[in-house]
Amino acid sequence: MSFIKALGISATGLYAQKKRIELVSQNIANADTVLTEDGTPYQRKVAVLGENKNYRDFSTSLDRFSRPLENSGVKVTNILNDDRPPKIVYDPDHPLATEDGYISLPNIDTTEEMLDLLAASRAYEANTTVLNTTKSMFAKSLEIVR
Amino acid sequence: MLNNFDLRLNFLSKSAQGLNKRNDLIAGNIANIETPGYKAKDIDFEQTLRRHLTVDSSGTSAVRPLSSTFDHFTIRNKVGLTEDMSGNNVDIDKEMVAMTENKMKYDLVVEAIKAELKLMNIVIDSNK
Repeated sequence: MSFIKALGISATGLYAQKKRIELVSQNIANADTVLTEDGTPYQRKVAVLGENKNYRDFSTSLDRFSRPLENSGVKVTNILNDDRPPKIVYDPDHPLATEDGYISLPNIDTTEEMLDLLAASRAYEANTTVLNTTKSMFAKSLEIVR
Repeated sequence: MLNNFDLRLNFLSKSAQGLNKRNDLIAGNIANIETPGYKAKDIDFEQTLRRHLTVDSSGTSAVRPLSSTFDHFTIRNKVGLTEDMSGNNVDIDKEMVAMTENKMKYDLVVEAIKAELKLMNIVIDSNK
């Protein structure tokens, strides 16, 4: 059932993009988190996407001897910390400020996050479009038996 | 007549299979739109299909029997696309156009199959 396969591939795309949107909201929510558990300011998180070579739909998983899938979905292979240095801001009244009156803020740029959010939601939409096309092709194929 | 009918139906179902496979590949390409290093894929089943069409002297095309190995479509990377900085060469606009085109072709093939079956029904009913 090739249609089911195509639906599964689109679903991996939807999942990966949703994960990216999650990370954006996490980054924005933590844009002012100066203290995390390990005593450093929050670091920006980035999702690394990779080709999902091992993706198998239900029927190919049942068939142990089936050929491996040549075409693939996508997956979030890793979530990495952005290594850019934290923003140093002069705020002598802050309880965590150094002796010189400086404080380290997370390395988050809201504009950058917004762009990422936009890109991810567009990619999500693209995957839903494919999903809908596959759905209507499936419906069309059922017309044969009518 | 019956032999031709069978051949045509076989040919159409192979076309539907190929278009179906292409839909899978387009879904994969779009899912990997931001995957670093991913290369857009496609199949070249039309050429294979064309080799099974023979045109006789009167200009009408006939269909030769398809071999069973026809199921194995070869997947290749698309050429002539520009890569971005991460080495990904998926062009979302091209993929969307390809997807729409593919869907229209598929609808057409399904309509053709329906027409063939309708013809067959006429033949069966004419006996009554």
